[in-house]
Amino acid sequence: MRTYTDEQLMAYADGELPAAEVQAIAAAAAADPELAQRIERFAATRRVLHAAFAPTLEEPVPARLLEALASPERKVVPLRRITPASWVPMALAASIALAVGLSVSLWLPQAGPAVAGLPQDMAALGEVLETRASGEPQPVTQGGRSYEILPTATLRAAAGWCREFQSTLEGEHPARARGVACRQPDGQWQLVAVAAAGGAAAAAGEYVPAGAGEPDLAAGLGASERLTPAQEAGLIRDNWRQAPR
Amino acid sequence: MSDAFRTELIALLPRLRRFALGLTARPDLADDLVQAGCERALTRQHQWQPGTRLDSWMFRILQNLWIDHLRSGGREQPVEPEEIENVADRDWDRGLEAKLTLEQVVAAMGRLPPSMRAVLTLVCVDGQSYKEAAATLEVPIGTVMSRLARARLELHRALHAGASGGEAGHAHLH
Repeated sequence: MRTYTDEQLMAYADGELPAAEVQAIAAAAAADPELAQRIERFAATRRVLHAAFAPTLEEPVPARLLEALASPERKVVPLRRITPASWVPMALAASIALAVGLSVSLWLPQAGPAVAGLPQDMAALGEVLETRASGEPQPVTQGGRSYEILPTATLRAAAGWCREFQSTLEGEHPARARGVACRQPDGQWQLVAVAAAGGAAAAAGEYVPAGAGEPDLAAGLGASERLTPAQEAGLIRDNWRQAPR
Repeated sequence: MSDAFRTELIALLPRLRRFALGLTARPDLADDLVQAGCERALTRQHQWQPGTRLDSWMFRILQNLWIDHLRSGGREQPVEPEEIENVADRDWDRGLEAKLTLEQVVAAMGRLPPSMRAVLTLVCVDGQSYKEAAATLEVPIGTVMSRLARARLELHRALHAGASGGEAGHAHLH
């Protein structure tokens, strides 16, 4: 009987073997329980590793990592100096809203964005993004202010399902913001980028002209694809259960 | 600094954290490694070729940082893998698998050399092909396969010992 190396059996278990060799090993394993057992060890370790690590992808990312990416001037701390005892609780993270570039800002998940035109409470925005089709404006009242939130597109991106939207503060001091938020595995919508738009003053005092000069907020999402209205309707109807990729 | 670059990195964070946990087998240090990796990535952004895979580039950065950390006296001592015994596979069943926690799996991975953990994490956790893992780690595909096979047999043995032998069979961190 032909002998097989561990590497060959592993490649078979991983589906990495050329088709021509697959049949031979499958036949040999069917006739030889010991060989089948050797293959099963590789299959089992893959299952175990995959299953054990799966929940880690859905954990919320610690604020300090987002902070590290938001502030380039931060002093680099060599890894070896970092001990668990020296970890700084990131309670201040919620107050951090760091401008990146001139017109686009990245925000920490829970930070109330200070861009005029955007409601402070992200839950109301998330509700609209979760349930409303693009092109359907939704009124939101918060803290005595009236906003109109208009989802404008749904994107399939590396970060998952994302939506572009526009939010307008109505009343005496009208302001408008445009943003992109991505749906997290737990169903929360996380703001990825936001910019003041339509002639409103940005938080930092920058004036962002509407139209051609505006930044493409979705550019940072990597390769993304815009969904058709029918695809989007299906997603909303199905509570976003379909995997983005 | 490019906003797109940062945004893409932010989107990668969950996978980077998962890779760092597998690579270090140190839940207490994994996020430190990711943080150091992000900081390095921002300072070396010009070295990244747009159009190439940012995830592989980042995994490489994390792996290099971790090797630097170990060389500069980091606490992990590479563990010599024990001779792989012929495990009584009949004791291993799906019931045992279902009971394994992430903690136990990570502890067992801690007994492997870092080079094995890297390839194990890329292929079995991140789902990369042998070819992708070889490109990420910049080693020949044959090296990926021999490390990976060895790592999985060792892990199978360690998890089996840990699950059926109680605490005595558990691998320990540090």
